Amino acid sequence: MIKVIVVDDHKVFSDGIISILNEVDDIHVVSSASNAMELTHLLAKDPVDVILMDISLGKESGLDITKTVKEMYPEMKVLILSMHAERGYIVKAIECGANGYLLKEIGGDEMVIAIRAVYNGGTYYSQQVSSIIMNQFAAFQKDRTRGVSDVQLTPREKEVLILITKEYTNQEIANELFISIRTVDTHRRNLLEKLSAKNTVGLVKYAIKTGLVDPG
Amino acid sequence: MVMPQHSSSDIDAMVPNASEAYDFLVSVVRNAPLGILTYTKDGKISMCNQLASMHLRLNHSPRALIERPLTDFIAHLPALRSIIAESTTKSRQAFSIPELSFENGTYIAVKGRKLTNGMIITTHDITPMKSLQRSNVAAMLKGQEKERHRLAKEIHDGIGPLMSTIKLNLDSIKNDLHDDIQQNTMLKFNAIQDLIKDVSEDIRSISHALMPSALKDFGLRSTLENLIQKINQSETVKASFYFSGSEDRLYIHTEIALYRMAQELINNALKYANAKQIVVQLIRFEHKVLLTVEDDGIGCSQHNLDVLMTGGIGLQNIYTRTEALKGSFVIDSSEGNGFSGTIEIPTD
Repeated sequence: MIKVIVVDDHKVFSDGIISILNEVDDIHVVSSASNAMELTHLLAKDPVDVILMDISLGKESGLDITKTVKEMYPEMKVLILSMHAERGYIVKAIECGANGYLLKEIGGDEMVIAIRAVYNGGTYYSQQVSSIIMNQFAAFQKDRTRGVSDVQLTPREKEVLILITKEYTNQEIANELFISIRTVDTHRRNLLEKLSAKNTVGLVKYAIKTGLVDPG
Repeated sequence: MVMPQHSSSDIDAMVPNASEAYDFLVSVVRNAPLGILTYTKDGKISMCNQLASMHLRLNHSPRALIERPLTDFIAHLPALRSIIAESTTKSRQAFSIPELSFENGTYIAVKGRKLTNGMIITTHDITPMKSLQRSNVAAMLKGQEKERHRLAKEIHDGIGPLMSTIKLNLDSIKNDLHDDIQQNTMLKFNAIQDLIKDVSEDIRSISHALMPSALKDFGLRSTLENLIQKINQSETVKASFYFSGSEDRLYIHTEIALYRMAQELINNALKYANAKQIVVQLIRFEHKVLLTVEDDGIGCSQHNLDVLMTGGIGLQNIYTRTEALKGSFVIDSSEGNGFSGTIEIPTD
């Protein structure tokens, strides 16, 4: 039997989950809590296998509670069940030690599958969540191969930089790119800042070093 | 204060003799709570008080300015300079520049009226009024955002979970339904489930449009990245985001304002520009933050830009917001050459 506790500050919602999960043979929801204090009391009395954790709990954050729970009971599994589908929340949930992340829009069946998965030592992320994680991972890989310290220039900045190395004046660059001289000046200042260069020489050095222009 | 020698019948009518009239006029011009400057038809300064010289940053005492061309002293004020240069060639009855802004943060209003020989300019320091205006707008925007935040939270945390509960309960009923249930009923049931899914999604996107909770919890960079990612998922446009500088969070009201302005500019690019690429960049400098949104779309002519600026609610909103944050907003676009909006906000 998998012992489960639901943490959510909306009683209707936790009641709904409890009624569904308690119909499943191998799952038993022992109780529900709406804040950190209630949860710690309940866990001290009767530890569970899996916690279904909401993120927005009024003034408290389910992510902070997850971190505390994982520190106190490293073996206990935490499954986030939230409305939030943004990357920041998902990344932070993983950092806090959550074993899975479900969006509240999923159905009861998937919830059961997820509970069994984390109970058996696995992880579970609903479809939308795992695609966000994959994107994050891809971006991270890209950063690593590029070297995170490297500055990224926008296509327009690269164009401006190339013209600067050709000794174009701001006015000439403006004419070439059909932009105002004020915008060229902004690009130039941004380039100096982004490349930590003191002057045009620094910009040219960077362009040569990174192969943006031919030193020849 | 220096006065050229000439007498006027109006003044003669007020005081008994010419010498008293002169002294009287001198004291009026000197003590007036306005900057006063007159120049002759050929553009030479004929009278000037201390305030006018101070307001317009002429960098000379009134005495040193007399008989010299006004345009020589206002190279730093191109808008005023061109009007004055023009007024000496064409006869102009009057002009008004509602505000000239100076590097040190002061704002001066300038008005000109035709005289029998030349023109008179009055200058008025409107900095206190501007700063009051700015703090009013800032307070209004702050209130608006607070209300949006409250609504978003109510929808997200109130109605959202209710919808999820309905969905869960329906799911559990579905499990109870017997296989021998009429197919028609099953179809209806499925339709309800689909509708609920749609409503839940609508609720989430409305709440998100009102105020993305990630903005408060994770900051501007992360929220803009989410926005760009979402555009790339659904639109035919390729959007990219560049960030550089400090990762420290900005003041939350600055972050909200910058997010709204980015949204506005991106929406314009999506709706009107027919762009293939949108590039959003956020750069943190030591004392300011810079946001640019560039696209490679159809761009717009100076004329359309003027129409947009005066009539387009969106761009006007961006101006209002940057003003409230003591920042600047610059648009660069021409027909066929894309559109770029640059917003700079001081951060200290």
